Amino acid sequence: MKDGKYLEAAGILPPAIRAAALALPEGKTAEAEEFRLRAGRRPTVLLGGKESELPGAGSVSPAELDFVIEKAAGVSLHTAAESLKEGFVTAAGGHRVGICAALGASGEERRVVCALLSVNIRIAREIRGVADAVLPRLEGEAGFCSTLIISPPGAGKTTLLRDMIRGLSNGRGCSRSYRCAVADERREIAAVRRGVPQFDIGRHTDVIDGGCKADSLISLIRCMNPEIAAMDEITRPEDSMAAAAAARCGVKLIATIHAGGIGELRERGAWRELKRIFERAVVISRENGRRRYSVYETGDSRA
Amino acid sequence: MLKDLGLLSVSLAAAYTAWRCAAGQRERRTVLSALLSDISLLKLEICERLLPLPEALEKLSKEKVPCLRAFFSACAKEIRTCENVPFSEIWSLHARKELSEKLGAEELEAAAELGRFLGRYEAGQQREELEKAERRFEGFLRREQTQGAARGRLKAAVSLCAGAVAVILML
Repeated sequence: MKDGKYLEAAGILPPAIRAAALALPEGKTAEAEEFRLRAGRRPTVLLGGKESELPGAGSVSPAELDFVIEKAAGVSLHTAAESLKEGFVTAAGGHRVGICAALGASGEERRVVCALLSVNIRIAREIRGVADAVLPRLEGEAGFCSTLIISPPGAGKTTLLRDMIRGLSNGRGCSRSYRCAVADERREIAAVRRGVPQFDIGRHTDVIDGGCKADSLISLIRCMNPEIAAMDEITRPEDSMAAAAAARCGVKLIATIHAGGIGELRERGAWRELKRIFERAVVISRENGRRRYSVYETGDSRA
Repeated sequence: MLKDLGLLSVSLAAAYTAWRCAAGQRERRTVLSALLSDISLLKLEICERLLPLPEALEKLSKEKVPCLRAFFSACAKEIRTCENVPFSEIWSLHARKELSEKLGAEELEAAAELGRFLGRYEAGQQREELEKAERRFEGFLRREQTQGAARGRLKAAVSLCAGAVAVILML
């Protein structure tokens, strides 16, 4: 039996492509990560990091791309204007539909006015329990330690982050439950759609959906009194500054960053600052196709 | 006796036809006016309140005019259940099914076309299209109020005259 999330994501596809997606053998559907549709080309599915054409499906027409966006937005593209500016729409179930389109200028804002060129449906899979092996190692005598999750893109940082938040919020895999707050700028952690988180992020978790994560983090600390604040992808200097400010307020942090490992961060010159904020680092790597989670103490000279 | 009954039947038929003509015109005006209000409401709900289209259609399915109620109810139901057809086709299909007897060809075409824009663009672009539709339907309603009323009166008068001529001939 195919998994529910795969079926849910396939439900966004146009009928002909959906039929081809549903005809994939079960073993392949379990490892499917994305559906990719490009106008004039045959649709593909991302399996274990490699794109394969969907057997039996013809070339994608522009009308089929429109269909995907219509279904993903629930025939209400006006409700997804903010995320659309960032180039994606969150479908029911938390599946993220990335868009490439010919953009037309309108005043100072750019908006989609011309044809869609390609869409990418990222199958949102919750892997419950993925943080179970990690969480006990992230608590010290004084409770949870601020943690940085490090990995290259697509390695499962957000999946681990989400499960960590859920575990800490529900008190699973740790000594007690914590009040958590999430600054979900890219709407990938909670995937709020029309006010409802599409993922379970725990019983004691508050979310600011969209908006600049640095500002959201400060608002959350001021207004929601969290014990742990989480955010995805530290990319800009202001993100590090907001994280440092949060750490100074006594709030523990969880954040992710794109890097191959601690060595790469050190080469970039970012490690010294991050080391001051985060007490632990979890590095995700792939070995023989399986994910490996290594926990380091950032003060440790081996880190 | 039979002749009297015949005269009465012809008189009643003529009067009924005249009344139907007038009522038909009134009904067309009512449908056009209600549809114009519904477009304005859609604009408010979609462009100002950013309400998802399925919920906006749910609101409109409480419309008092029966044909519009049937139209919006069918759209509201199928927008949630239909997995294989774009919404524009659902809208167009039900517009033609439920409104073809109440609207003229041009008005029906304008109503059916509206589905091509709903829910598929950002609020600003939908507002532009809905405002265009509002202006078109305002024009249709004005035309109906002037030409349609005159046409209705003419039809009613012709029916009554035809009835009167038949009665005179039968006397």
